[in-house]
Amino acid sequence: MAALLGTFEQIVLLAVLTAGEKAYGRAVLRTVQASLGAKRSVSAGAVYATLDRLEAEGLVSSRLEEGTPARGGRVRRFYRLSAKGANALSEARMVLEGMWRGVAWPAEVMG
Amino acid sequence: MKRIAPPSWLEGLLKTLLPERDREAVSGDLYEEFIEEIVPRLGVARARFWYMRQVLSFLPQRLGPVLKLICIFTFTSGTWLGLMDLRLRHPGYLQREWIAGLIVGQAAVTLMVLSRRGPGWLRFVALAGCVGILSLSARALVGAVTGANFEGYILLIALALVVQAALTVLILPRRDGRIARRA
Repeated sequence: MAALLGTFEQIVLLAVLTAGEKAYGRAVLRTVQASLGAKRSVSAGAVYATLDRLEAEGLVSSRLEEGTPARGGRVRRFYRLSAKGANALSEARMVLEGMWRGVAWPAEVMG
Repeated sequence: MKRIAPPSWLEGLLKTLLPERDREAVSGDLYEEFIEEIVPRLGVARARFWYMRQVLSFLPQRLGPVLKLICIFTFTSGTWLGLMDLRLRHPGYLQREWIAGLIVGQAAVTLMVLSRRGPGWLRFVALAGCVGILSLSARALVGAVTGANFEGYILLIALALVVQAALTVLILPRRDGRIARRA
C-alpha cells in the first residue's frame, strides 16, 4: 500500500483539480494561497517542488505548451491529476473521514 | 521604449536554482506575472523586490541538502574536538568543551529543523545559534591568521561554520509555516 498523502500534497493536488484546464504552476500557487488564506504563507518554491515530486510519483502528469510573447517566448507547463493521483486523494479522504467519524467533537482536551 | 523586465541577474540566479526541466516554464510563469500583473500593480521598484522574493523561495529546495551535509560535517568535527579535549585535558579544555557543545548543538538543531522534526520554535534556536557559531568562527579565523601555530583543520571547521551560518540564515526563514513544511 502506498504511503498516505501529506496535508500539503493533498492541498496541491486539490488545487490542480480546481484549476482544471488552466492548472499551470502560478495558477496552482494562487489557488493554494487563496484556499489557505492570509494566515499561512506559501512560497512558490514549495508549490513547484511539490508539483515536481507529485509528477515523479505519477500522481499528476504534465504537458508543455508553446510560449507566448508575454512570457518572453518561454513554455508553459500544465498539470493534470492522474488516475493514480485521484485514487490517492480518495484514499486520504476516506481515511480522514473514517477517523473523524469516531471522534466526539469538540473534544475535551487536556490543558 | 525599453521594455521593463525582471533583473537579469535574478533571472540567472533563478535558472541556477531550478532543475533543468523546470527552468523555462517556471521563469516564464514569473516573467509573465511580473510584466502583466505585478509591475502595473506595484510599480517597477517594488515589482523587482517581489521578483527577488519569488526567486529566493526556491533556495530551500536547492540549498537544503548542501546545508545538511555541512551540518553533518560540523557535528562530526565538534564531537571529535570535544572527545579529544575530554580525553587529553589540556589547560583550558573546559572552555573548549563549551565550544564543541555549541558546534554540535547548532548542527543538531539545524538538522532537526531541516528534517522537519521537533517543535516550530527550534527554527528560532537554530537562527540564534548562528550568532554563536559566527563569533566562534571569527575567533578561529583571527587565530589562524595571527597565531604562531597554523592549524588547518581548525580553519576548515571555521570556514564550514561560516557557510553553515550563512545558509541557515538564508534558508530557514524561507521555510513555510506548518502546512507547507510538509512540502
